[in-house]
Amino acid sequence: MVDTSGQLYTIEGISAALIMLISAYLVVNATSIYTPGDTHINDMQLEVLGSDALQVMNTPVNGSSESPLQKIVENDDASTFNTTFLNFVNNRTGSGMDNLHYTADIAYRNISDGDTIWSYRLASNRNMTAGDHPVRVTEWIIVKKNLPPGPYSPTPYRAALVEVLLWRD
Amino acid sequence: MIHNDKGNLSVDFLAGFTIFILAFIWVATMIPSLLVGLNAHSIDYNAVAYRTGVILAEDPGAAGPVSGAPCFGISSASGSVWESTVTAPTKCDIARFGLAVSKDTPNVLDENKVNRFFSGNASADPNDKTNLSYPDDYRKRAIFGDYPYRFNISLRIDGENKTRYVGEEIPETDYGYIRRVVMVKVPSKATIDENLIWEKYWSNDTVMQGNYSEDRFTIHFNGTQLLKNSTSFPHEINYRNYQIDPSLDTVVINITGLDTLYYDSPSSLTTSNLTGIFLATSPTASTGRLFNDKNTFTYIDGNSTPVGTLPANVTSNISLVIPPGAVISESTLLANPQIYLTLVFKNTNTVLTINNTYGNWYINSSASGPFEYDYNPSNVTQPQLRSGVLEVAVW
Repeated sequence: MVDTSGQLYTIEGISAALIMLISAYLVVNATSIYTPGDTHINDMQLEVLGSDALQVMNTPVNGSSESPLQKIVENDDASTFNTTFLNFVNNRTGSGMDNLHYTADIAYRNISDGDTIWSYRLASNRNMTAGDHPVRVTEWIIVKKNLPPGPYSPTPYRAALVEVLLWRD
Repeated sequence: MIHNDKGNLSVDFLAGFTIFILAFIWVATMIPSLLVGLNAHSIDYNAVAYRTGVILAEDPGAAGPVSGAPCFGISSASGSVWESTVTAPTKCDIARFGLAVSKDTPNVLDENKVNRFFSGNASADPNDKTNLSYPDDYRKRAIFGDYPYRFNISLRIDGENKTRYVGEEIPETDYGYIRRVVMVKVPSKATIDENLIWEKYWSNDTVMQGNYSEDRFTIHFNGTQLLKNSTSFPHEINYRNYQIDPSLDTVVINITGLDTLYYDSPSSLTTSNLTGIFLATSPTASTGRLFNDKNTFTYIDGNSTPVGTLPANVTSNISLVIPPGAVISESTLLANPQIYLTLVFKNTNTVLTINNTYGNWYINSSASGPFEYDYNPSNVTQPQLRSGVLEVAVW
């Protein structure tokens, strides 16, 4: 027969309260973890900015010239790419500049090497380190250039992919 | 006597129960604050900012009825030319904002759309049917959503020393944000100065025309050539970026140095009389659409307000700032590809006298043929794209 003889109600109340408090503490801690699901907003903002910058660079300023990006790739002009691209991604409407870093590569089809995809570094303003969290943005361009790069010979226009990794400190 | 303690509540039980209840209440009141970290505001703000950024940078917008006061859906406008005060005179004719030149040219903004969009401010009366006011007019046409978002939209164009903006000051934290890199299409314009006039358009109409009662200067829009299709441009995909289309873009014609043209005339004769502006399908037509009472786009001698009615006296220069669709609508241009805009200057004894044997020399295109508004860069400053930054903050 079970009865309540010897039962300590106070001790039970204290232990029940402790269990509830510990559970609540665990729950509070669990929800404050910065989940990977929230980082997509920052990634999205960077992606929009990067692809906008490449698209604007690939738009000629008037109806009869080549686009700045096309000229840069044709002349392998890393310093112009660096200045122009950083200007576009870091400029703000108010005062102060953003602080973004990038590496840019050109990928193309190498017909002479068994139709494989080759790429080379166009420009970068910093080497990426393990802690950086970059997004990838690309823009297709048409260039009048020998790929792989070499002395110019009259060739038809070639398609190439400008591939930029973009990250914030 | 039998001892029976059934029904007694021990102090021990009372203490235990109280501690349990207190802890339970404390945890229960904590639950709402647990959910604070899970609120969707910051995600929602960013999403709304992104959506607004896309609408502004990639969409040309729409003219047409908009619901809500003070408009209640009254408008007969349609198409995407919402920025023209001719085809969409009131804000009730603007269904949706959107700054892109066309839906095929994302990130390339139209200067007229930019100007009208950023013309609004918080001090404008929301019930006014013409001027845009922050925030009501913008919420209905660019931000959308049931929640009354507050926002700041700003645009800085390279080469300009000011930032255009509409909205409030951005709070320190907790707002959604997006930044777009854009270009702004600066429309074409033609400057006809005294050198060009002397070289080509300075005629003696006594000799050339046998008519010295008036001088006619004609500007020719060749619709067939202006609206040439995309394959005529080297950059086929984005040809709208570089096209001169008088039905969609502002056309600016500056005629300067008119005061230097009076040949051998007394110094007292320094003005001529602009009697009319004809729009016709032939350079010599004297009939056609006449803008005597609709000269909202004719500026004389540097005046910042357009002349109301013609005739008007002109001393040195005339600016025609023709808003899109105003003079030359798309249907006009398609039906009559050859359009001539003729300025008629009347020579009256009181204004400009035929005072010698050489007759009257003034700006006159009768002998040389009309001024061509075309893709020749020596005639017309071609449309150009200037880069800029567009930012949207929502909270």
